[in-house]
Amino acid sequence: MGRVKQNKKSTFIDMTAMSDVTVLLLTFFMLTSTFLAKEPFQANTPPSVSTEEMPLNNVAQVLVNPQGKVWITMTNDTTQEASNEKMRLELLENMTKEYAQQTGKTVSFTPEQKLAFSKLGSFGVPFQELPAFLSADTEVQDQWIAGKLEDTGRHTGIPVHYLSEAEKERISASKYQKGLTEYQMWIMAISRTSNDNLKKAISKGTGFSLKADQSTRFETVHMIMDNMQTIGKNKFTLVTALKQEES
Amino acid sequence: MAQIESGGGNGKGKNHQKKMTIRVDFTPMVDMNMLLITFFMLCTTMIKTQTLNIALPSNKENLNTEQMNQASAADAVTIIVDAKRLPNGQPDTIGGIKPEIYYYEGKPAEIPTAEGGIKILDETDPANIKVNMPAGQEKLVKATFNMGDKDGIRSLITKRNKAVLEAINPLREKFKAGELNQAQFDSLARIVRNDEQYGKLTIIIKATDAASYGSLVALLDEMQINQIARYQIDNLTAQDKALLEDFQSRHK
Repeated sequence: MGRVKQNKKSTFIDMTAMSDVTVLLLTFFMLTSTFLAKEPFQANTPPSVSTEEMPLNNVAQVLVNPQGKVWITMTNDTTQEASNEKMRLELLENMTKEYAQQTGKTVSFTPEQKLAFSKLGSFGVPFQELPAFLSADTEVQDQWIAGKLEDTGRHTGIPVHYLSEAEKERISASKYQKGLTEYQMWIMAISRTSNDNLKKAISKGTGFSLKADQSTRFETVHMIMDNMQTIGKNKFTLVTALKQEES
Repeated sequence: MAQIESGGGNGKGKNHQKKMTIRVDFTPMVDMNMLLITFFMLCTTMIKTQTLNIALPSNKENLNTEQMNQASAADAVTIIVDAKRLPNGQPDTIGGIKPEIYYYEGKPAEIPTAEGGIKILDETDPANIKVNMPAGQEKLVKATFNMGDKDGIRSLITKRNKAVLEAINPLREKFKAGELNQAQFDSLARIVRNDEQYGKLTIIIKATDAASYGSLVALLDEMQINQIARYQIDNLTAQDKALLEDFQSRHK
C-alpha cells in the first residue's frame, strides 16, 4: 500500500503586494494626519450644525474643565515674523508687564525659562509658579498640568473666579481696568500681540475660542464669558463638533 | 515578484553558475508597516472641529442690550435652560445633566395685580420678589428639548418665526436642487431674516447655573436652524429666578 505521494509545496506567500498596499496607506495617514494636541483633559465638545471650521492658526483657545480650571493654547501664523516661538516670547513679556502693573509683583524669568515657554504648546499654571514650572522636567510638567501635584503646592489652571456684580462694574468702568483676574490679564496680554493677523482675528471674533465639555455646568462657562465680557472681548467662538442638520 | 533570477551567464563561460532565485521575505516589512499604520490611525484626528460664533452684548456701549430691552413685549421671547430638578430643588445629576427648558413670551412683569402676579420691590434681591400667579395664568411655560414634539421648543420658534421661514423655504428648495451654492444661500437667507417686514422676533437665551453647556449650544443651534436673526445670551435676573422657582415648586 503506497501512500499517495504529495507534492511538497512551498508555503511561501508573496508579501510584496501587501507591502505595497500598506506603504500606500501609511503614506496617506502620514500626510493627512494632524496630531491630537496634548491637553490637560479630553473635552467632549457639544454637537452643533455650524459648519464654520476651526481655524488652525491665529487663534487662542481657552480650554475649561468642569471644575473651572482654565488653560490657554495660542497658535500663530506660520510666517517667520510671527512664528509661534516669537509670539510666545512676546506674550510672556507682555504678561510680565501686565502682571506687574496689576498686582505690583514682579515675576522674572531666566533666558532658559523664556525659551522653554516659547516651546510650550498650552500653558495654564498660576503666574507666580510659572518660572518653577518652566524649569521642571517634561514629565513633571505633564503631571503638574494634569493636577496631580496639587498637594505639593503646584497648582494647575490659570486663576480665574466668578466676578461679582461690583467687580464687573468696577472693571468695566475703570479705564485702566485694574484688578483683573489672572485669566483676564492673559487675555489682555494676548490681545496686545504684534501679530496683525491674530489681532484682526480677535476683532473679527475668531481670535478667541472657548472649548468646554458639553456636560459642563453653565455656571463655569458663564464665569469665563463674564471674564471676557468685562474686558470688552465680547466676541468669540465656541468649539463644537459637527452634527448633521435634521430636517 | 519578490524574486530575482540571477546567474545564467553565457553558455561559453567556464564557471557555469547554477540558476538560483533570490526571494526576499516581505513579511517583517508588512508587520512593521501595519504597526505604523495603526499608530497613525490612532493618533490622528479625523474629526475636524467646528466653531460657533457668538457675540455677547458689549459692556462698553450698552447699545445692544438697550435695543434688546426696547424690543417690544410682543416680539420678545425669553428661553430659560435649566437642569432637571429633584423634588428638593437640587439638580438631578445622575447620568449627566438632563436639560429642562422653559420660556415666556413678552416681559415677565406684565400682570402686576393687587392679589397676584409678580411684585417687584427690589430687583436685585430675590427675596423681595413675590411671585403669586393665579393657577393657569403662569407666565412661564415648560417646553421640551425633544425637537419633533408638539410642545418642543422648536415648534414654538418655528411658529413665531413663520414668516421668515416661509420666505426662506423657496431659497432652500433652490439650494437643495443645486441652483444655489452654500455661500449664496447663506447670504440670501441673511437678507431675508434681517428684513424687518417679517417681524422683529427677538429671542433672549438665559441659562441657570446648573444647566449644561451642551444644552445652551443646542439652543444656539436652534437659532441657526430656524433662521433667527436677533438672539442673545443674557444673564438670569432675580426676577427670572423667582419665576422659575415658583413654577418648579408647583410642578414637582
